[in-house]
Amino acid sequence: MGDKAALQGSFGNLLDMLDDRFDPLQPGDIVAQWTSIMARGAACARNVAAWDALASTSPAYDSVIAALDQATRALVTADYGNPNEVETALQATSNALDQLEGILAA
Amino acid sequence: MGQLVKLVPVICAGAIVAGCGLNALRTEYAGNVGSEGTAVAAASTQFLRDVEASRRLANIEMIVADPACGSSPAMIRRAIVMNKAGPGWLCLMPNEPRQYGVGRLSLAPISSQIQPTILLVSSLSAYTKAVAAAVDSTPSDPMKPLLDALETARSAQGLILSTTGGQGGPVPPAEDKGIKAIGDFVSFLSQLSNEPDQVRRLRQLIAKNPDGALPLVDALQGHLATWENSRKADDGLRLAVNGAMLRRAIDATPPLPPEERRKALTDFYQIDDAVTATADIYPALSKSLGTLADADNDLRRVLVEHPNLTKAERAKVAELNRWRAINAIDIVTALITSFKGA
Repeated sequence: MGDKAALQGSFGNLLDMLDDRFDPLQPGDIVAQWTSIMARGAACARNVAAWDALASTSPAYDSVIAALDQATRALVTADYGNPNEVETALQATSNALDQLEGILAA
Repeated sequence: MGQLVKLVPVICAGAIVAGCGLNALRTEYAGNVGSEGTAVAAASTQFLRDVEASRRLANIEMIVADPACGSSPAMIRRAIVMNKAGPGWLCLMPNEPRQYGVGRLSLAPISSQIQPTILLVSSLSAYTKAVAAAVDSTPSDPMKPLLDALETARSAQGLILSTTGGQGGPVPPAEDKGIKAIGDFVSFLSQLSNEPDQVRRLRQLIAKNPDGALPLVDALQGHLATWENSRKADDGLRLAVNGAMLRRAIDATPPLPPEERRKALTDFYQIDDAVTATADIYPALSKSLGTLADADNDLRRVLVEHPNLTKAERAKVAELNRWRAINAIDIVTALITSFKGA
């Protein structure tokens, strides 16, 4: 059963990677997608009341943690000279944020 | 004179027992708890100030980039329109319909949201000071710091319960670890502050409390982790929005004058450097909390009547006892010598 600390940790790692790998010299559409995803991440992080209200453990966290970790790996391993790979990594990130938003809104 | 010589072993034994090395170790560990508590409080205060500053700077960046982001909640588009000249390239205009996947960002100040965390820090700090004072020496009023800590912890408990109860989402049950930790801590402080025979029994109670401040440290770790993610996200948002403005400056047609492009690039790299610098505080704070938990554990372990000491601690106690015995012999020798000379 996943715990809240692990969920926070996986989300934090994803945010780190979004900060570290952001490059405004990438093509404009990638910069636009990246900024939009960062804003969704910030909206999740700013929802402190929802984070405070999460139970310490829940089986629902496992799949979200896995999705967040997979998105982080995709951002780490993407070839930043290849826009298709970057877009794939951003899509994985968007999917992970969908799941996180679901948990926080439940 | 002979009588005095016979007394030497008795005086030495008395010196070892009365001021024994174990008590010195206890005093040292109590000092560690107090100083780590002070360090945690200072680092937490600085960290929470940075969290607030990051929030403000991210809000500033959004509103500077696009006036459409200037009403709360700001709604950053899922599909940002990089080549749109006027307002609304980054955020939805007020009259636009809602869209799926929009980042809804409250622009409200966060001071009130941070308050429960500040109270947890204050109560932990007051507790560590009170414990250190009770073990280290006889304080003039040992109850006051504990009563202060209790009052602060109760305020934090009330605020946390009011923010977690009644919200949407999987509200933690009453037995949730975080809620329970604060409740247990309040009970523990109540027990301590009702203690009539003050210092001696305070020590016993502190020693016998199985967890001490650890559940509160855990709860505080959880709060701080939430705020650290908030800070990371706000810093990342600030960087990304500024980067999007830079991208627009680079792609503008007709091209912007070189000095405007230079300014846009310089601004971006300055923000990048500032964001990197703020990332250092939380790891240090987290480490400091761990050290405080260890110090509290060590103190609790050595306060009991027959503590289970580590090898290093036994060696240290033996060394302190040896030093005290030698010191006692020196004093007695000086005494005998002075009698001889008299």
